[in-house]
Amino acid sequence: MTGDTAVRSAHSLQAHPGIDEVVVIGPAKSKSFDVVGSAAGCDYLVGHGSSAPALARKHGVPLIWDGSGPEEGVAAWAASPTGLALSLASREPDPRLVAIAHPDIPDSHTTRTTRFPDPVGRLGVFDEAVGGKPVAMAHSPGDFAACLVEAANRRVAVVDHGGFLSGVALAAGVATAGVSGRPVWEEALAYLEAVTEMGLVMAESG
Amino acid sequence: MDRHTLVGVKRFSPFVIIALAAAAALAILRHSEVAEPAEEWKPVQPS
Repeated sequence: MTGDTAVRSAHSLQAHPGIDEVVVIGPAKSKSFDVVGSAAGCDYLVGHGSSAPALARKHGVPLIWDGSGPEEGVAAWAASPTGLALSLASREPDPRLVAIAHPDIPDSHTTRTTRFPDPVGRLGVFDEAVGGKPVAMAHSPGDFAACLVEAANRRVAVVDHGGFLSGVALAAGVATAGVSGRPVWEEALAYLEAVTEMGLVMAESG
Repeated sequence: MDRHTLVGVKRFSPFVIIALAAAAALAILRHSEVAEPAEEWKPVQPS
């Protein structure tokens, strides 16, 4: 594991059926998990941030990653709030808007506003592309984050504490890992089932 | 007031009056924005 989001994901994974054991790859300190020097015996590594793929390659174990594109040694990528929003969209017959609001998204120049579910509310968004798919991004000024999809007949969303949402979004990537690296939305149903089992709530409106 | 006391009066320039009126109108508009109606969300399972 690497990073605070990865530590949060470890707690989500530890309570998940099908996961036998979770360890921290050292050097590190942990009150909750065994710290080991080698990833021998691990099926996957879970990592956050740009340094994670290189670290995972050193250990020779496939990585579950929250990065926004494929990299060598990565078994599942976009295990993140963005990937979660795109997974929600992939299950809708006619998605028209994919949007996320998160405290970690920089407060950038916005081009329009989007209304997220409360308590996030209406925020300015700017457009990005992740895996070739358009996503409207917003800086959430509070602690909460939201993933939102507007489809023809309904709005679907996940709202929770930003850190918790990121941790679960990363952890649930384990449910989608393949032999060749792929984004989580290619196994969207398995991914969405995993995030709800880990404590996130999907809701619809309209 | 002594009857020899002079009282000076300065009128607002028309430009100041226009600016004040515009600021007041903007303030009224801001406070009169209709709040968006509450959305009703219900939990769903992935499908």
